[in-house]
Amino acid sequence: MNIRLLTAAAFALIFAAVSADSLCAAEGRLAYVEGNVILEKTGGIQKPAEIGENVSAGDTLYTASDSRADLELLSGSTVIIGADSVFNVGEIADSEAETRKKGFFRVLLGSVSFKFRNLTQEPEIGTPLTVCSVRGTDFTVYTAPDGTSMTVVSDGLVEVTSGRAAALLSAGQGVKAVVGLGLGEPFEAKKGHIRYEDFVDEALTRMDEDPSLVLISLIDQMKEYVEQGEFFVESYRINREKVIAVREQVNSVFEDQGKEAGEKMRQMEYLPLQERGLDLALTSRYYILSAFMMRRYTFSSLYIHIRCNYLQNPNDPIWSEFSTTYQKFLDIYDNRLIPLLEEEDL
Amino acid sequence: MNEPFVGYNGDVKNAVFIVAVLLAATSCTSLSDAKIAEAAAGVSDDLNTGDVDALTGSSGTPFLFETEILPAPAQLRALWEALAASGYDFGPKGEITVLNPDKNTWERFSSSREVEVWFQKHAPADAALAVVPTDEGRIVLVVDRNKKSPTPIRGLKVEQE
Repeated sequence: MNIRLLTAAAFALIFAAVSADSLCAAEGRLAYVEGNVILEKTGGIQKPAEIGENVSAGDTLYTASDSRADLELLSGSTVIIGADSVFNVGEIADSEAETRKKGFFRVLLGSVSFKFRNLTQEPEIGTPLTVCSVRGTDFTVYTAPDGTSMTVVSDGLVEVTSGRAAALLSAGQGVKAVVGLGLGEPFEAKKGHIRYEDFVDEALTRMDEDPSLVLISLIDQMKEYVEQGEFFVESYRINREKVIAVREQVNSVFEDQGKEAGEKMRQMEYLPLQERGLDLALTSRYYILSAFMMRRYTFSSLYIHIRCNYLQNPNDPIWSEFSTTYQKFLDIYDNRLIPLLEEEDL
Repeated sequence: MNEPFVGYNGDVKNAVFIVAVLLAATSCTSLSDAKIAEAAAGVSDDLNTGDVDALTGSSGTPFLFETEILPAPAQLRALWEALAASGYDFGPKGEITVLNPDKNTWERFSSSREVEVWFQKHAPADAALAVVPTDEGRIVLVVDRNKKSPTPIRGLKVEQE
């Protein structure tokens, strides 16, 4: 079956199963906008962001230099998006939630500070390399152009995971996840002593030292996301076949054995399969979008930096190696990731 | 018997009038090839002199840079900064050519499906391609012909020989 049709079917199912109210509910409202801030709705249409505007799942906020946006969440918590940043509002599966999903914020570039008020309702926060489980109230997440991330906690606890490694940070601590090196050791990070510019300079230096190594590490990470996406799309397809088969059985039981027996089978067998389908659809979408956003923000930032470094020396062997590897990445993207995307993602 | 013919004449006159009005309206809102070439020369000049603010102010997102689509203003500014710092001479070394994109123009930038989609969804409706000769090849710019566009520069590719 065509993967794109399958993905579309998955989301049609989600839309049918989840109430309109929960889908339309805004994740938050823009409480403050300064400078050039752009809001991109699902489908890629960009417009200048305005104070009071709702921001919901699927939306992305971009801030230019000398710009900032404050997002007030429904829980009363605040998200402050710093200059030169990209912040995406998404969702992931959560079997314990009434709607079977919860918020997932992505810090794709720049710096975003979180001041959480209600920890039971708060979303998880992801960067290209890490996921933060929030147990704290006040922390900042930084993402450099090479995807390297840094989390700094001012108050409470935050658990940062990258691959199989994890670090529990308390107030005054920070941790970096460097592309190709994974999660480092927690370090002392005093509030006001962290400079995003220095963090970016470190990332650019790493890119310059061995561009192909950084690129290969990013390709490995993206392939992991793509493989997970493919796995969950296939799992969804298999589950969907079961849903259809069980639905026919339920209809037969209704006809042959009566309403009570049919309803029992629907509750016991059909609905759990349908709920699993929703989880699988959301999880596949999470991995697919994680790979896609890496492509859009991290790979592009790396390409810009290295391409411009060698613009005057297109025959330099470092550029030749990088550009050959980059073409391999583009082939993976075109042949494995694009078929998993929705047309509106592009 | 002659009425339809009279009507036809009337329709032709109306059509000619409408076309004339549209042409006049288009010429009022659309940049000429000469103006596009002027804008492209301005980009070359800004790149050579490192005027990143001018480049950032005249370009819009999502911006197409070769194989890359840049949705974020931060990425676009980083691009202009990196290009301006590259030391490359962006010309113009000769006459700037202005072309109208066709259905295959996307292939000049990349063979990726996403660039084809960019030309369908995000390229200006009335776009022009400005080809600026340089010492080592050329740069190709995607420029919005719409006079009212505050950010007419929408794409760039460096073609090296």
